[in-house]
Amino acid sequence: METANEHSTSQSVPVRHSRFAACAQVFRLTLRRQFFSRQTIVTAVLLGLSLGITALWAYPKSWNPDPRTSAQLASQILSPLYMGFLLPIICLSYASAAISGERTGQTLVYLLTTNIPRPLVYLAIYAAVVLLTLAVTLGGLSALCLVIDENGLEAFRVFSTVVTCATVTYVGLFLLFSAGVRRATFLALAYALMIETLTANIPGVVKRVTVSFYAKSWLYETGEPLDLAPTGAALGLFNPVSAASAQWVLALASVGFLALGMWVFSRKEYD
Amino acid sequence: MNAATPATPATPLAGVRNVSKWFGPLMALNGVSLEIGPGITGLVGPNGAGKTTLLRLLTGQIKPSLGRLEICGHDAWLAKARDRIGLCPFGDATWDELSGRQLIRVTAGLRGFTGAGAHRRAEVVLETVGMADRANRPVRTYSKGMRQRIKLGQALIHDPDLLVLDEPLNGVDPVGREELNDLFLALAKQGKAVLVSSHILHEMDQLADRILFICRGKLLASGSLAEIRDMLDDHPLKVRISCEAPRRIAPQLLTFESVKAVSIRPPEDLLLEVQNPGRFYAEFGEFAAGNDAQVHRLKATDTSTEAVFDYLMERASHPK
Amino acid sequence: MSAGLRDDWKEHQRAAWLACWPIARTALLLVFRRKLFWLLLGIALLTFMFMFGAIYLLAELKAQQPGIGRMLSRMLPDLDGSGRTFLNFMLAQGTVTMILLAFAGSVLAGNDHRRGGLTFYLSRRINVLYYSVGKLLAIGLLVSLTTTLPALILYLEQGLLVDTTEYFRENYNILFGILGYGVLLSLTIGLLLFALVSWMPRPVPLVMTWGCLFVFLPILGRILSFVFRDREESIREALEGSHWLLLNLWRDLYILGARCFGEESLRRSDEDLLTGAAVVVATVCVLSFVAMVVRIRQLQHHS
Repeated sequence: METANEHSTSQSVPVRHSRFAACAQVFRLTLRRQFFSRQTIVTAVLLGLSLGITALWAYPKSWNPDPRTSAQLASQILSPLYMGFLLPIICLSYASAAISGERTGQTLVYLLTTNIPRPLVYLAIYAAVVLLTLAVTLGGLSALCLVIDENGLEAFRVFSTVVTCATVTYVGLFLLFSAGVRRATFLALAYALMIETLTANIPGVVKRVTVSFYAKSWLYETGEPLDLAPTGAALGLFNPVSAASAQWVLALASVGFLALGMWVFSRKEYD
Repeated sequence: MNAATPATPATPLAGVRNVSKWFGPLMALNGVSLEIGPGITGLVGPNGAGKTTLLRLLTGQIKPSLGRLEICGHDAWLAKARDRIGLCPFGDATWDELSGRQLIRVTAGLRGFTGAGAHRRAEVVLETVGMADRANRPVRTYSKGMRQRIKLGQALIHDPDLLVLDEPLNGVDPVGREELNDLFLALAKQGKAVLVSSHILHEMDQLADRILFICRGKLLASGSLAEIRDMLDDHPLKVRISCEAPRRIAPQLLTFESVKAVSIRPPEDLLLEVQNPGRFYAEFGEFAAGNDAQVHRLKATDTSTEAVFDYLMERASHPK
Repeated sequence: MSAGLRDDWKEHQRAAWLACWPIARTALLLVFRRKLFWLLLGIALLTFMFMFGAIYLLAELKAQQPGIGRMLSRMLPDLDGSGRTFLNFMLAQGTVTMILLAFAGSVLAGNDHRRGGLTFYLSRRINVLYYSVGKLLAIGLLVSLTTTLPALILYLEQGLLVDTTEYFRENYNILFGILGYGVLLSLTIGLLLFALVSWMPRPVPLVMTWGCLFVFLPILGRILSFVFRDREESIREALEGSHWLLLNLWRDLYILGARCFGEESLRRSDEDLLTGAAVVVATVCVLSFVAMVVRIRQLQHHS
C-alpha cells in the first residue's frame, strides 16, 4: 500500500506521502477523539462503580468468611453485570459515536474529501475503535477479576477470549449502524437492551440473532469448571450451540459486519 | 459566451457534463454543464440554488443522479480525483479540541504526508493563511475569521490544483476579506483553479475572473462579468444623470433609440432605462457635446453583478 | 411600522404562559419527524398489541368456553382485568419507554442546549419557567403515549368485553390508578430526563447515563441486596424485600403506582418499601429540579 511520491508544494517544500500514512492518521485521529471523549468518563465511572461493588461483594462476611471463588465471581458479577450490561454499553458508546459523531459534528467531510478510498477510511476507524474498546473491556474485565486475587484468574481466562470476540462483533455491528444511520446510538441502544435482552428470555431459535446468545453458548461450554451453564429444563430452554459453532458464528459475523460496513460507508452520500 | 452554455476555459481542471442531482422529489441540479480552469471562478446564486450540491458533487461527497463529473480526467467520486482537490467547507465545524497547528498537521497526515517535511509543509501553510502566530491556541477559541483561515489552510495542505471554497468570506471582517481575497488572487496567479461560492454578489465583482450564475438548480449563465453584460444586449441598464436642466433634456433623450424610458428625480437628476449600453454612451457623448447639457455626473446605477443577477433571475422566472 | 400599528399588534398578543403549549407542540413535532421515533414507538406498542389480543381472546374464551376461560385466568392472573393487569403493563413498557425517552430527550431539549436554541426561546416573552413547563409537557406526553394511553385503551377494551356497566362501576379506581401512575411517571421521568439532557446534551453520554440509571443501578441493587442480606435471610427474600432494591427507580415508581391502584395492588414485599420508594422518587424529583434550574440559569447567563 506504501505509495510514496514526491509532492512539490507551491512553496517548493518537498515532502513524502503515502496512503498507509494517511490511513494511520485516520486511525490515530479516531483513537484520540474517542479516548478523549465524555463516553470515556462515563465508562470510567461505570467501571469504577462496578469495581467498588465487586470489592464490597468480595469482602469476607462474618457468616461467609471464605474467599470468593471464580465460579461465584462468574455467576454473580461477570455474567449479569459485565456481560449483561457493561460489555454492550461500552462497545456501543465508542462504536456508535465513531462515525455518527463525526457526522453530527459536521467533521466527517474532512475524512470523506481526503484521497483515501472510503473503504480504507472505514477500516482505519474500525481498527481504532476495536483497539480502544478491547483495551477498555479487557482492562475492565481483568480489574474485576483481580478483585478476588489469584482466584479470579480462572474466570479471566474463561471470559477473556469470549469478551474479545464479543467485543469485536459488537463493534462491527454498532459501527455498521453508525455508518448507516445518523442516530446510531439510539438504534444500538434499542438493539442492546431490547433485542439482546428480550429475545434472550424467549424460548426457541429467535435468540440466535443476538451476539450474546453465542457468547453465552461459548461460555457455557468452555466455562464448565465455573458452573456457568444452567441446568435441567433451563438448559433445554436456552438450547445453546457448541463452543466451536459459536466461535465460527461470531467470527463470520465480525467479518460480515466489517465488510457490510465498508460497503455501506463507501456508497453512502452523507449530508 | 452564452447563457446556459458551458464556459470553456483554456485548460479545464474540472468538467461537469450534463449533471443532474435530485434528493427524493427535490431536484437540486438540473442538467448542469460547465468547465473550470485556472483562475478564480465565482459560483453565484441565491440560497437553495444548488451551489453546495454542485460543490459536494465536485468534491466527491455525493454522486450525480445523471451525467458525469471529472477532475483532471478522473471521475470525481474516485480517490484519485480528490487528490487534486482541496475543500474549504461551509460552516465552522472542525475538530475543535485540536490547536490550529495540530489541525493542520492532522490534515497533512490525512493527505498521507509524513516526516519532518509534513511539519514544514504545515508551517508554510500556516504562514500562507496568516495563522502562524496564533496556531497554538485551540480552534474552539478562534473567531469566525480565524476559523475560515485555518479551514483554508487545511484545504491548501496538499497543494491542490483545484481549490473549492464554500462561502469562504462568510463572517470575515472587511480587513480579513481583503487579505483572503489577496490570497485567492495569489493562488490563482500560481495557475490554480479556485472555485468560490457566494450568495453575496459584490464579493465576486472584484475577485472572480469568471462567474457561474446558478439558480433553482440550473446554470443560467457563465463567463466574465463583461462577457455576460455584452451577451445580455436586451438587458435594460439603469443610468442616473445629474444635470442643470433635466426637464429640458429629458424629451430629447427619449428620441435616442437606445433609451427606453426616462424619469425625472428632482431637483436635478434623470433616471434612464437604457437598452444597449455601448450605443447609448456613444449617442449621449455626441448629444452632450453639441447641446450644452451641463452634465455634472453620469453613473450607471446597476452595473454590479447584483443587477445582472437580478435580471437573470427575472428572466429565469419569466422566460418570455 | 407605525406606533399605532405596533400597539394594535400588541393588543392581539396572548398571555406569555400560553406559550407552554406551542413549545411542547413544536418539541413533539420535532420528535415525530424522525423515522427512528416511529420505529421505537412501533416496538413500544408490541407489548400493547400482545396484551390487547390476549385480553380479547381471554374474554371470548370465558364467554364461549367458561371452563377453559377460568383455567386460563388462573394461569394468567395478570390478565384478569384487575388493577394489576394495567399496572404490570405499564411496568413492562419501562425498557422501551426508557430508550424512546433517551432518543426524544436529545431531540427535545438537547439540541436547544447544544445549538443555542435556548436563546431563541428566552429572547421572547417566554421565561425559563414557561420554557421548562413546555418541554416537561412534551416529555410527559411522550411518556403517556407509551404507558398511560395504551393502558387506558386496554382498560376500555376490558370493560367493553365484559359486563360493561358493572365493570366500570366496580373498577372505577383503576382509571384513577392508571392516570395517577401515568402522572407520576411523566413527572418524575420528565424532570429526570430534562435535568440530564441539560447537563449532557450529546447523545452518547446521555444514553450511557440513562442506561446506567435504568439498567446498571437495578443490577447493582440486586447484587447489593445479595451482599448485605442477613445471615438467616434466604436469597429469594433478600432479592424481594431489600432496601437496596430501591436503586431501581422504575421499580420505585411501580411501587408508588401500585398504591395509586389501591392497597390490594401492592405486593406484600413492596409494602415495606413504599416509604423508601416515595423518598427516593421525591429526592430524584427535587435533585432533578435543582439541577435543571441551575443549568438553565447558567446557560441564560452565558447567552
